[in-house]
Amino acid sequence: MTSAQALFMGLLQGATELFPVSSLGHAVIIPSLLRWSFKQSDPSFLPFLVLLHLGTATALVILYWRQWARIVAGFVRAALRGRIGGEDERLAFLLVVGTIPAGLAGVFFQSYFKQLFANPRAAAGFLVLNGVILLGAELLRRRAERRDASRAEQEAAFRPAEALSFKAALLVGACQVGALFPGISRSGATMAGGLLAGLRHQEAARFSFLLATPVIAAAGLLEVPELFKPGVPLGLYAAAAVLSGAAAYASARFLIRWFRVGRLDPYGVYCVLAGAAALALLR
Amino acid sequence: MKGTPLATGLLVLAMVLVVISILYALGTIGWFANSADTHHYKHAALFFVLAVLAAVGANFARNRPLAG
Repeated sequence: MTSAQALFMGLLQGATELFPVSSLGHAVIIPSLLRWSFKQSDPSFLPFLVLLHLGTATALVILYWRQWARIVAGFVRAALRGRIGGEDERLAFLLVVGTIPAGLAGVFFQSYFKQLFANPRAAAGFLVLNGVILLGAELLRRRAERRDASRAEQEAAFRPAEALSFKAALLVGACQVGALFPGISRSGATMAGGLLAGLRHQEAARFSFLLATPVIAAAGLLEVPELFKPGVPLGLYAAAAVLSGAAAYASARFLIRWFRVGRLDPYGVYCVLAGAAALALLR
Repeated sequence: MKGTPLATGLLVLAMVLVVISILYALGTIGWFANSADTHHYKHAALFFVLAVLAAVGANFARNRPLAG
């Protein structure tokens, strides 16, 4: 991988990790379209991915650091007391419950799924499916909205993340398991799940980003020893990780603003079109 | 109510999970793990986190009033 390719991949990973368009799918499809020779499934690619994930997770922690401080304090308080009190404590346990399915699936099945589906045509197919999921979630959501109300009023009728039930949090968290398939977006799946669970769009996005943080951080931190293997160009990879973090931070801020009244539709349409185009080009 | 059966069960589960975590870290067991690695730290970390959560669950169950 050349320096320019590494920096481009860092930017691409950061930008697509939080947009509901699948970072892994893009990272598999785009190098193939550009006829780049490296492969995501190659073991030597792992240290690079580790640093990119750490960059993205750091951006999310910086973006929500006040919330994370309250969530961690809330978890410790409630765990020691043996009872959930305020909203922060409830949110902490909703995130714990929502993280368990992805944690289990990630540790036990990630390598298997990566080997099975990390080819560009499969990723393009799953990208189309991701678009259908996003559009389907919006279709179902529209049925639950008042037609005569403004967008702001429609959104206000739905719930904040803290009002989720634990069963709903488990189901929304389980949607993250879909991200094991390259082309299915982690944030897209959890946002779609959040919408179906009755969250406001902005709250579905916030819950999705909060849910993603421990999973992305753990995926990076658990592979840190890979960084110290001989021959790893740490400086270049670190620069790519900084770009990835900056892109993730900017895209998260954009999406939080977008989902005040915006919907998943444009991302769904993009995924269907991009996936179909990639399928046609990758024959 | 202290010492409910659920709390006791979760505490036992937490201890079992800690043992499994240690066995994964030592490489004594390798269920569903990459056979190329001698130590399975990812699996060990997962089971340790699950053990902590089971212990937290036991504390919750201990404080829960009995129904009826």
